[in-house]
Amino acid sequence: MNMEMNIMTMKLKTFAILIAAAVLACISVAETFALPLQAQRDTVRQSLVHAVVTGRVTDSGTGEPVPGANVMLQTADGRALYGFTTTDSDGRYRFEYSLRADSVRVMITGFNIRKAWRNVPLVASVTADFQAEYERLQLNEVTVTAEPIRRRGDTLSYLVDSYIDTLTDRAIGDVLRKMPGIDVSESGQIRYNNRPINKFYIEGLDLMGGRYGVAVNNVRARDISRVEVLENHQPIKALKDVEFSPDAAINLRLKDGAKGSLIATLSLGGGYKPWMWNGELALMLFTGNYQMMTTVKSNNSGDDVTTELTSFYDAFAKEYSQLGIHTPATPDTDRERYMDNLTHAVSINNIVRLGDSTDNDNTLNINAIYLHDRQRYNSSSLTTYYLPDGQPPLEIDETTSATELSDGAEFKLRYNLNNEKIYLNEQIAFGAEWNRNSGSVLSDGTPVEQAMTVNPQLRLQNDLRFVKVLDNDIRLSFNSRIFASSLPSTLRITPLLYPEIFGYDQNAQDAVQLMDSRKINTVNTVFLRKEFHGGFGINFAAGADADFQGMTSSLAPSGTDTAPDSLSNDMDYRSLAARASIGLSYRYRSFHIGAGAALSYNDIFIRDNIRNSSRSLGKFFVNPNISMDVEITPNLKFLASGAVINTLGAPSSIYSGYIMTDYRVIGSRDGDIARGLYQRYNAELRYADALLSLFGSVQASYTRSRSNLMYGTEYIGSLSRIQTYSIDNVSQGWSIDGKIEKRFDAISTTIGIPVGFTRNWMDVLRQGEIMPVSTWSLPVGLELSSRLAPTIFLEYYIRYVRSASEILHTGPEAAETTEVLTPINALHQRLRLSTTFFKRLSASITGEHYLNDAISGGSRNIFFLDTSISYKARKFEYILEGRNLLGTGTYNQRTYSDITNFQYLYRLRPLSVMFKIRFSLG
Amino acid sequence: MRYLLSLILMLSSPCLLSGQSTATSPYAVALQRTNPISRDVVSKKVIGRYGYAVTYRYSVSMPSPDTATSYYPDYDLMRLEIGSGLSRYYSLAADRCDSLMFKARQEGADGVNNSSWMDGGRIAVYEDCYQNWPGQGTLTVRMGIVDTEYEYSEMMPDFQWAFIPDTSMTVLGYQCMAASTEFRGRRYTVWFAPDIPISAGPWKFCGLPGLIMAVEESTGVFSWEAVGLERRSGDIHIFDPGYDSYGEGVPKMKIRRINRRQALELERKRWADPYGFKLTLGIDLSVGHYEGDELVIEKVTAANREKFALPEVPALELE
Repeated sequence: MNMEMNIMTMKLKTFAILIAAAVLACISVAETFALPLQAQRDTVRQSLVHAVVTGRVTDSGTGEPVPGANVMLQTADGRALYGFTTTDSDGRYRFEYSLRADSVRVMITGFNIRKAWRNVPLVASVTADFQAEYERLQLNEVTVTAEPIRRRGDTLSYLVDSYIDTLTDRAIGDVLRKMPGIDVSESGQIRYNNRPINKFYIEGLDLMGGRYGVAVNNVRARDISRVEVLENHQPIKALKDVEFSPDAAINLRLKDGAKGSLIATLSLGGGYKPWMWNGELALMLFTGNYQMMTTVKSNNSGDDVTTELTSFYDAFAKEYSQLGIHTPATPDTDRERYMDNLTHAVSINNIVRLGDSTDNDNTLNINAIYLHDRQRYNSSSLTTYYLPDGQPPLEIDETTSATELSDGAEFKLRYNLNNEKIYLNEQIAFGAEWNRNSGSVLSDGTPVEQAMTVNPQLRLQNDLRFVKVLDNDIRLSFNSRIFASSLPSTLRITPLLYPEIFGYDQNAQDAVQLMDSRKINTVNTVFLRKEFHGGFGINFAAGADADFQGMTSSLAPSGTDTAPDSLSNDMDYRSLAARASIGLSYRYRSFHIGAGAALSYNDIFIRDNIRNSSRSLGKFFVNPNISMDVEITPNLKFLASGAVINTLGAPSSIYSGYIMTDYRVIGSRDGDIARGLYQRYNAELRYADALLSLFGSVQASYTRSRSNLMYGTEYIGSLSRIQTYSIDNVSQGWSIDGKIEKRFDAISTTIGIPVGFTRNWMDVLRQGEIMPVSTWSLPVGLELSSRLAPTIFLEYYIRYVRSASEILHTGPEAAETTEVLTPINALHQRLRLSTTFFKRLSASITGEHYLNDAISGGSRNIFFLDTSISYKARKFEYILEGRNLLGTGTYNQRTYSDITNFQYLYRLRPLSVMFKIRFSLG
Repeated sequence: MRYLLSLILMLSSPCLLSGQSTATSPYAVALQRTNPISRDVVSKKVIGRYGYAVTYRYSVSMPSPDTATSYYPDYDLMRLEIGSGLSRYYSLAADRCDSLMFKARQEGADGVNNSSWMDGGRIAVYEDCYQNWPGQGTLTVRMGIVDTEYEYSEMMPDFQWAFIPDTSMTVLGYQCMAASTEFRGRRYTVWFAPDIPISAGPWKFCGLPGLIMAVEESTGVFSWEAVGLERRSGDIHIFDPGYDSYGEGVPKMKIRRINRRQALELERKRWADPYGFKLTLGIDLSVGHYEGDELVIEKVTAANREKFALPEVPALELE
């Protein structure tokens, strides 16, 4: 019984606690909604009095009325306000209210008036006058501590935490795009206010030397504490008082936890069909004086990792052999659809701070890259060459499969000195690349094997840059580049296809083309620049270049000791140039004009050691240019530009012995040195109205090119033999492009319509005859995007191009006939639907359609369907991709190039499913 | 018994609910994408003098769409310069960004950071309100978006203030009384100090017999609080593009006169079509984002522009 009583008591107590809690929960914070004034509770049975309260406020000293004084009608205790008014020009005020009260308080306040109040009884009519006394308005000043003006050199930053969306931001690239004006562009390049950044620093050091794409994709957002955007970044400290740089730079500051320890991120993926893998490992180390980033990537799933390794500044030029195996032109669709690859890439980047830890002026960079890339291609093609004089066109039918294998390494060392007095940058880069390409072509029924090797290509480049500011704010800079390369290549074709042309033994099995090019050149330029106030600017440049090259080649069956002179080359080239250019610019309000002229003297010397002949040429050129832009109205802008450029052909393009560059192309360029005059004129009208979300532009351009040489082709069977002819010829063209784009705000939809028209005229030399050709093309398109719901988006794109070529025949009767080759109509459209659920899960589905009505022997319509689903958890990301779900096997394409018609059937990657996981180690 | 106690404990401590993550508010992102690069300081024109200056902390706390996410609250420091009748209300962050940029151009281009001094949560509200300008009884607003200052004028609003009895608060040492009003779709409670007999306030607020020291909007998204008060004289400025821009690379500021309806539509566009303003400038714009682990970079065109819309951002004026 006692126990029951205890339990009962406990239950009652519990109940009481709950009631108390409920009551407490019911008491809420005072509501903030306005209430009509209620009469005080303690004046019960108060009757409603209709009262008129008036009065006048005068100055206590002069007796003059005080206008604009605040008069408040308050409750008698001054705790609540019935209303307020201000005195009129005569100092008078009036209140009229129906209130329940015995008395009210009238208070006056105002600028430099002592606050005064008086309680008056509330009756039908009451007057309260005031004599306002002067009192200077006393303010208890509270000043906000001014945020210190930060000067250059201090630590300034965006706190990354305020931009991180911890659910979806993994790498710093995710966060960067949220910062004002930052966009990450097509090639991985970062742009700030639409200008490419000129430097990417981590902790003040330029680790990546221009290949910052790797850092953008791998440095984790959570390791970065601050991102500094250095607007108008002038990386050259010596220019700080002189040159306004419109470019920006980015500097990442790390969290302390990220310093000194090795950071690693790993991504793994696998899929079918065929069996695919995709793996990436990134290792990063950041210490006070040393930084390192190493990435290892490997895939056979069609991912193109080479773009990440591209250097966006400090470029190191690659050389390409003129010889090659026959590969089909790549399809005009996404690389991932057709790329059959096996790629491994390693990149290692180090930077060392010479000097103490605050000194960013003296640094040494050491970067290295290794790339192993194997690409395979499969296609069949029909090439049609139209010939003069009504001859039937030459058709070549090929089924091509090719493999390109390249192994390359690059090594770069850079010393940089950057202080306020001088800027010095000395960089030396070394690269080597081995190519082993092989292919087989079934050409009109004949199988042809090809093998091309470059064993290896070597190149060396040295860049020196020096900047200093002279008196009078004149900026002086000096650039010097020295480049040397060796490119030995071999092309072996089996069987020997054209023995009668080569005059060889019919039993020869193959043809081997050897070609060895060596070069060394230097380009040196001095710049001077000065900006004046008032909008004028002037710049001046002078330079001297030298270029020495040698080329030897021979074409013979394997095993033959020497090739005949007609199939061999031993050339030496020398080119010297002296340059000077001047430019002026002027800006006034919304008008800007710039004009300049470049003068050059070129001296060319070519020696043919086999024929024991040489030739030389000395030429002086003037190349003017002009550009302007003007704002006609705030919404309408007009731009125009023109340039005339004289060109001199590269001396190395001249050689007298034939070189076989492709299994069915052989050429010699034994003629004059090419000289050309190129002109380009351009005008554009642009209309933009952000309020109407309307943008329109119309652009017209004209180009004209005149040359003293023509390259003519002679077809012998399926062999193209190219030679140089000294025939003056002109080619010209014009085009008009227009675009209009408008957003319909009410339905969250944007529509754009691009339209264009291009027409070109040129002469083509075939079978010894000149064929005047004109081509035209008419592209028309529609682009549409729509936000169907807050998280559902629709994108649609369609582009139609109609193109044709015409051959103008001038017959002996002087009657002109035009042969119009069948126009091609090509259509491409794409529809994508994407959506996000709960911020973690996103999905998209894309359909694509290509139509080319000139395809024969293959399907004219091609369809693709792709989907992708991704899920982001706290530490992991999961991605599932389905590509080419309709199993489309080939991509068919047909295009014109002057009067040559190409039709391709390209084999694509099959239907595939890929699953990837990404996570961080440590 | 234990069950009930633990239930009460759980209900009284909502922070125990886990799985929260914080993100930058779409409001801050929209401002970043559409704010002017900078306004041209050289083109400031003097239109009056002020004798008092009040600094307000203007906070915007956007509600998040689900319980899993919450947004960092955003704030700006706004300055109200009060003259006799005429007053100017503008953002100190915007003003500082503009003057840092100008100073950098004057001093040389060694790299200056004109907006990264802003700490997390700080925004720059490029919206200036001029009360009683150009004439008594007219309210003029200037909104800065990318390269244009949009200007509209309207009659000074006639707020119907209802005084709230028995409510007071001390702000900056001043005793304040409370009043409330409804203005263009939102309800506000303001605290004003009768001891400072200046009939002025932040943004468009005015018409009380004392300086407005604090404002709270009923849904909790918007609030103002005075954090500084000075008796100091100076010039009141407005941007006037009649003056030449300084040097190359400075986008020439344009003034465009619109009406209030159009201004509301422009505010909407900041989040509904953030890249639209830059696109209509003819800028070639590309944006990168992650699809899975791949950085996908695409050009913003009419075919995909709507995809870059941000979640809805609440506006001050709903009608």
